[in-house]
Amino acid sequence: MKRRIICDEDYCIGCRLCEVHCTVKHSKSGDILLAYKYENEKEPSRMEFEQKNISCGSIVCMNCKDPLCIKACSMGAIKIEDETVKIDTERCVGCWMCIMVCPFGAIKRGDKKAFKCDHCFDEAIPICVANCPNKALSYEVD
Amino acid sequence: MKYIILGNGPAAIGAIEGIRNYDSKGEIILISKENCIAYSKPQLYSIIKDKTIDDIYYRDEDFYKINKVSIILDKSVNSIDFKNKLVFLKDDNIQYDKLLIATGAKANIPEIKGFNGEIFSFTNINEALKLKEIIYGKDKIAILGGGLIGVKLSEYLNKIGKEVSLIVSSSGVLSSLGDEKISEILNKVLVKNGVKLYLSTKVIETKKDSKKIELKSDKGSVICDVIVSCKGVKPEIAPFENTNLLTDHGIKVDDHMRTNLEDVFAAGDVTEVYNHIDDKYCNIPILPNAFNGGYCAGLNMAGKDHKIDTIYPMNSLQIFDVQIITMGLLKPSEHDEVLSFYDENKRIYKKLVIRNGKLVGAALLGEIDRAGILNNIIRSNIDISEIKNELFNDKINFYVIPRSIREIIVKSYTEGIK
Amino acid sequence: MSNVIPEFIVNKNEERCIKCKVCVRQCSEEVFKYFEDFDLIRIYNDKCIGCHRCETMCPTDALTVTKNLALYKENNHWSSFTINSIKKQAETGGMILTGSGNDKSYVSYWDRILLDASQVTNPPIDPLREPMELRTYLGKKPDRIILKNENGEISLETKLSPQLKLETPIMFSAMSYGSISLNACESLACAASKLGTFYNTGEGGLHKKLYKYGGNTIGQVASGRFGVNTDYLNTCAAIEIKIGQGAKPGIGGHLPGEKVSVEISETRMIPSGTDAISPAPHHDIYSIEDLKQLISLIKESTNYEKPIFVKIAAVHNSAAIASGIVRAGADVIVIDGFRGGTGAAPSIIRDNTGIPIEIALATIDQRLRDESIRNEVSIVAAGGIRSSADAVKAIALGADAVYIATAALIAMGCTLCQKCYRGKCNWGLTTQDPILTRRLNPLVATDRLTNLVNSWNLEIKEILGSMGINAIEALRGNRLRLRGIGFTELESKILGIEHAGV
Repeated sequence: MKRRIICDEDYCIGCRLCEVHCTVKHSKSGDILLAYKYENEKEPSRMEFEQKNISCGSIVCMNCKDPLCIKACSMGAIKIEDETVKIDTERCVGCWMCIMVCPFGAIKRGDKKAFKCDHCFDEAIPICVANCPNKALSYEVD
Repeated sequence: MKYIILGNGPAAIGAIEGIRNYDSKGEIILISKENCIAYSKPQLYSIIKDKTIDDIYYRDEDFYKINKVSIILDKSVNSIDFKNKLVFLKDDNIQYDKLLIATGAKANIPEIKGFNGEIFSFTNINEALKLKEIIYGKDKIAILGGGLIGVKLSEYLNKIGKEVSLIVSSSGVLSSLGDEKISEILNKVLVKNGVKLYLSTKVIETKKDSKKIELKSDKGSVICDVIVSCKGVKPEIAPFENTNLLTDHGIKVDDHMRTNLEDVFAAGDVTEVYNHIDDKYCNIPILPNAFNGGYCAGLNMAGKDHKIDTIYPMNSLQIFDVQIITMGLLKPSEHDEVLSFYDENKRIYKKLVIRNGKLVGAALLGEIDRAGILNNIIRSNIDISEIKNELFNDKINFYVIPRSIREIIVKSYTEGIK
Repeated sequence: MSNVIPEFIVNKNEERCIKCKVCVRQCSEEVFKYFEDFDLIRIYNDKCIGCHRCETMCPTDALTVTKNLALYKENNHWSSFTINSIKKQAETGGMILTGSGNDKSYVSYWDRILLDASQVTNPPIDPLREPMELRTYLGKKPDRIILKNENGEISLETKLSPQLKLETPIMFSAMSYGSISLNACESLACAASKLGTFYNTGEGGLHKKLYKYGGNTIGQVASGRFGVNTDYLNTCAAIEIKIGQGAKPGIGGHLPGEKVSVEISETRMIPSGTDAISPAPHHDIYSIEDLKQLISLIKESTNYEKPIFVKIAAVHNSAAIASGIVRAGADVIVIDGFRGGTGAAPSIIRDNTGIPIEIALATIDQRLRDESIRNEVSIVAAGGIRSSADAVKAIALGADAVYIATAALIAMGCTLCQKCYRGKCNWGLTTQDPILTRRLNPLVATDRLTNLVNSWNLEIKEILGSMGINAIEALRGNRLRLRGIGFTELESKILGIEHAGV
């Protein structure tokens, strides 16, 4: 089932805890103190909070019906797998074509490769949704 | 239904995916004059350094099998009988119901006075492998042409320790982009990394002896071992010259990728498409456009009425440590509004070109994150008169767009409606 | 330089701090500031109001907000609060304001009243097996009812006065839109409709968005008459005339101009940006006859279809006032004790005025029974009801239902920092700032409120079961099921509760 994480901008309080929990989830240890203070490189968050005046929220990959990133990738590294749009990090060469076309800016630049939200497919509920203190994040299943 | 696809680039792959999206039973035959499965041309440069063709395949090896495509490799098309729908190979002919021409473009190789040796180019795998072999043991490489291919090749040759002389006829590299600042910054970057840059220089004649080649220009001489021409590509339309297929600079197609002949489609670098921003037909040999064109053609070939999104140039490239993304039109006309700023210390450049309140072009250097948001604004023709200052001044941010429009954008991409 | 020592100290455990800066972003009093050049989070203790928002939000529990123990030398007569108040007044020359209810250590009679339980002679009832009736009807009850028999079918001939039907004896008390945010109002309205009970608009009028909950709304008509028009009167299920309020008897309401946004000005029907001051008395009620006129006026305007509540603060002669109110034609009397909360009141009034609800309730109930008019009204008790036990005791003392407000706010996130009047509530409750109000998600808050009342309902059922009662109306005014401990003879007599052992 395709997952889509939605941020309700009326109730996002700008605490950015979603970013913190995303980082923790994708870190080696999965523990917040170890991830932030002791691990060598802090894993970047897949979601990024943005704000303009009163509108704010976190945007992640929307699992578009007809993803533009798949079409733009110069190495065919982006595919639909596990009902979500996935970047094959082995094929990715960091040409940033996907970043150039994603209408939500959901793909991020890593050191040499692109990365994006994986909708926490191994968890019952995406970590950011489960930890949003004001229930502004929710996920819908397509 | 029998589909024939000529060519094996992104347009052809796009067409296969488009057809199979709608028709899982029809027979697809792909004919390519190259001897390998589809590879990614933008990554061809890495062949120079340390990669092989296996590293740059555009799709997995079992792609054709999974999509039930019969591939005929290493065969050229002799001629096409459009009336009877027959494709003639050297020793065979195949009937088609729908035909897609995605044969791409070929290099412009200039004639240089006094030179009868080989001028190399770099537009496909064979040329790349040839060049890689010939430069073994040679030091000095001269590259003619400061376009995308010329600049990237200079970078890679420089990285493997060659002495590169880049000879550019205009005053800056990547002048076709139409942005002087980007050209200026890249000029500096190339020179800083050891590339010998000759701007506003035209080669008048050459002299070759057993060891070296001397290129004489109005500015002086350049000594080299190998000459590589990167003067752009041109749609390969020679095979269609004496047919009823309508061509100009390239094969002309409409917004459904149809040519003037029934059941004949074309996509990719071989075509000329309508560019809404410049209001004229032009050839835009860029990978995303080729794939999208092929995909659209595939859908239409399979019977689904699908109109292509607007087509305009866009590039994402990295030269040494500088990242650049350009979208749309960068060279403003008289009535266009241009917002730009350049921070020399941080090496960040941002430019927006606005026409009649709509964004028609954007260039980002250094900070390219979330560029797609601007690209979507160009594509969707959104009026930005109210938000242009925020779009320009702030870091690119989805929430700058007014709420009602944002909701439409989310809806159209998640539900697939326009 | 201020002479006032900070009341709270914010302690940050550096080993646990991951510099996520949630505290910096969430504190509306700006206690935390991040300096990028030094990668340092600086803390300003003097700004802390002790709301604990930062502590709750910190993902690594690195923060502890504690009372500043370095306050003045221990003194049972001159408390630290007193000393600081005097110093603040010396610095500003103004009245000290506060929010919430009286926090001083006066006696709490609820804590001295104990409930009876059944054993042996009167067996308890198991609420898991037997149905327990918590349904309550508020309104005038007739002296007697006449039934008629038509061909074997029995029906009611007596015409009943309008009643409110409650599925639980707990309602949400008056909190005006203006003192609390619209999100909070919406949560209360939605929870009330889900629970089958009612909420009170307070004196802020009814926002258009909440008209759909009209069937669960008690509309208040206060001295300022904010937001009172025909739509308002017709949409609400009942109308409450507010004469006084437990937290500040004798003075009116005050909403500072900064909190009067465009939406509030529309709802209250006043110009935006101006202070919304409710006068102390209703300027058309100077005697009990005037009250009777107003009640009749409202009944006439609403076609005699809605019960009329009258709310008074619990003060010295509450019993006599209550008797007058009954004769003025009210259907329900609401008594607000001195522990009741407020959005803004002078601290000196809140802390020193009024009488305990327990005593007011007991005396009013007894007085009305003595005058044989107890059935003419229902009584609702309000003012610091903290638990289902307080509610049960109130009902046993004579109340038909109870109003809760502070408890509802706490359920939605309030930590009783008492700074409501500043309009910077970090929990999005008592503020109109859109950056803060969004922190209260009505979906979440409604769930929390319904959970709270459902928990109390379960507890009430358990208590009733343990008393051997299966319907709440059997407990109403049943003081024999209560005993006191530590009561003097006088207290025992006033409350009508025997001392334990008797």
